[in-house]
Amino acid sequence: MTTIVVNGPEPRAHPPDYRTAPDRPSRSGPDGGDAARIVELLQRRRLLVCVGSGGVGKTTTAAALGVAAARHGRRTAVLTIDPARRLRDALGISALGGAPHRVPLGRRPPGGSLDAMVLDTKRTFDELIERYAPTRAAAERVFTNRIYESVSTALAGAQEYMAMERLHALAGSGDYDLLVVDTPPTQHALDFLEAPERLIALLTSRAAAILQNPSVILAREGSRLAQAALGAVLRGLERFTGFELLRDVAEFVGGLEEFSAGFHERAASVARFLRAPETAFVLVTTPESARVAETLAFHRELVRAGLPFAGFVVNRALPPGLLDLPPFPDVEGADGADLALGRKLVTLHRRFTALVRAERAEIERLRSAAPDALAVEVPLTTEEPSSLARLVALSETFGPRR
Amino acid sequence: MLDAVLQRRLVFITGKGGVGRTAVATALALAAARAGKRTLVVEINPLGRLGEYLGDLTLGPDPTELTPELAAAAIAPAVIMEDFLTGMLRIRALARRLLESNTFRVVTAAAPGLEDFLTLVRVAEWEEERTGFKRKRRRFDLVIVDAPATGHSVPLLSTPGTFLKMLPFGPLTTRARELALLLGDPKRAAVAVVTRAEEMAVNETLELATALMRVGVTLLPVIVNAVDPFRFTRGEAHRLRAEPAEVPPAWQPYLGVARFSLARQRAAERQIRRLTRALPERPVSLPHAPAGRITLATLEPLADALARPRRRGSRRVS
Repeated sequence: MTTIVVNGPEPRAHPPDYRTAPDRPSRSGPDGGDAARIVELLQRRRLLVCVGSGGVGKTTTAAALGVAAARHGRRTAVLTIDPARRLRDALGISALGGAPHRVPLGRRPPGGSLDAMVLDTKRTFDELIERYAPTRAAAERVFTNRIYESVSTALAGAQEYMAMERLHALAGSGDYDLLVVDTPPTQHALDFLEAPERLIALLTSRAAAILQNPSVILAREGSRLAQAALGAVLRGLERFTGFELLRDVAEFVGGLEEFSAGFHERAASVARFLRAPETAFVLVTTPESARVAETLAFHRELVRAGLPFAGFVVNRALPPGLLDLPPFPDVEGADGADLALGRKLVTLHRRFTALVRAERAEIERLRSAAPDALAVEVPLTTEEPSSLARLVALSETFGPRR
Repeated sequence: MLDAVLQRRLVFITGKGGVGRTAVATALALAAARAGKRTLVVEINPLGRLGEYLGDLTLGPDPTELTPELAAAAIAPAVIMEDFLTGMLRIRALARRLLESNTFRVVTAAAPGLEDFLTLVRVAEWEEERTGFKRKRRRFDLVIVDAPATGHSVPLLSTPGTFLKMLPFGPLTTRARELALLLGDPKRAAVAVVTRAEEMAVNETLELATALMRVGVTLLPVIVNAVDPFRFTRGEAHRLRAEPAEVPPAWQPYLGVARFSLARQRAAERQIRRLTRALPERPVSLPHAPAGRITLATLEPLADALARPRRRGSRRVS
């Protein structure tokens, strides 16, 4: 078994973290079992999906996992679909377009590399349409539709679907051994997975015919009541939005129908990829109680859906070693400046102790919910990993320096 | 901060996920209500925490009156759509049945931004709502909207503009034009971005501020949430950072924690300086809400901080 010594990111230029005693707290890093699981993730899997609530450091975690994998000698790509493009900050790259961008990692084992990219939803949609349109004219009809631009970027599920599409294309390109993807913050872990299928169902459900001539399709609706309602609403919507919009929608959806078979086949293939054994889902969280509760809910969803869950990454955890410090010496005898500073240090020590206790309890909840899964703690630092050097240091949480 | 909010009638609160938008929106509503404004705080998130913060209330699309000055509501896009359909069909059961229909989902999904548009329409109705004798009195002086996170707030606020471009004629156009006028009127509507004193949150805030200015909405000062009020003075910092540290020997084991805390304090101050330099107005700092459950009581200090008069400092001209 590989033994991994974990060091928190600690670039020389910055003040140290809160390590107080010379011996590093032992539980803040992966133990033997966790270390072996991380190595397995980084070396054997082909897709890592990072899921979590907003603000927990998903994007940074995805980037750090990517760096770690590259340093394990794998050709790695990190895809972020986060609209605020935080990966760009984390990787210290000012212009990250839809195209893969090589991240200059410096020393790494032969073969290892890291490319980063931000999802360009619109461009991916364009490519998809070009691929599946039976004729050039059919593709043009879609592109020139007035509502195409809003539908291709704003329609619910478009972003998720295009992320899956892009992943699938990248996986099929043979250029990469491992893909790491960051997901948009969701209320439900499975939104991301189900969105593509929902979107395809919408786009290919003969909506065009309905829109062009509601009376034809009304018969397909189950009850007379629904038929009447649908008819009334369609007329109302036409009045409300103006006829033009409905006609555009009808044309747009009609245009897409011509290649619905291709869409379905592609979605099924993406769904298989996500459920494959070489895929792993990583739940990213922080040790706060509200976030842990959300993460446990995500975990239940993943397990219920039978998806390959690999483990938790707990960002911004304080080291448990703080609990080993003796009670702060009495300061009330001190005088003047010493008294003021001493009192502050007492407060600080009390605060940190309480925080660490609360965090340990939360992390224990995660561990007991999934005793066999990985639980990596990423130590809280004074600086955020917004430069490449810091990201590389952070990646060492996930594997040894090579 | 509060004075700038009280001058408006409709204020949107947005920001990066996880920075505490709902807590800030609630504290702001609390402060406005205490200042005597009839305030409505609205959450646009079916799974949001506003009701929990206000005392485990179940909020719905009809404002719940908490005090004569404070009311709260939660609007979910699906509910708005249902109301819209009910208005059209006159029978709620029909609207519900229709919403469950696959066919109908295609139609609404294909009309992009319709939910956002209807959400804004609803919010604007509250802003305009009149009550009392001859409807002379406004029902609310101020509507505070706990808006979606960064990624969705720009599309939401640009919906009227998008609709006007897409549908230059038609019955929706008048409403879209009214909404665009409302959102663009600096006397009536404004947006406040909530952030934290962390590098990436600040990066995102600066990008968001630029995008919002492009949409044409008025920006209020940025609110920096959860700034730790615990701080070392300059003299203390010097003693802690000296090698060897100028503290009694018995305190040495605690230096690690102290220096870490000091470094975080300095990093936070650096981020607040970045915001100050980049934005036209000085950011407003709010303290941490105490750990544990957020309630109206724990939000009091935030409301106090929002109500405190700000240092009148204009941006340094370089």
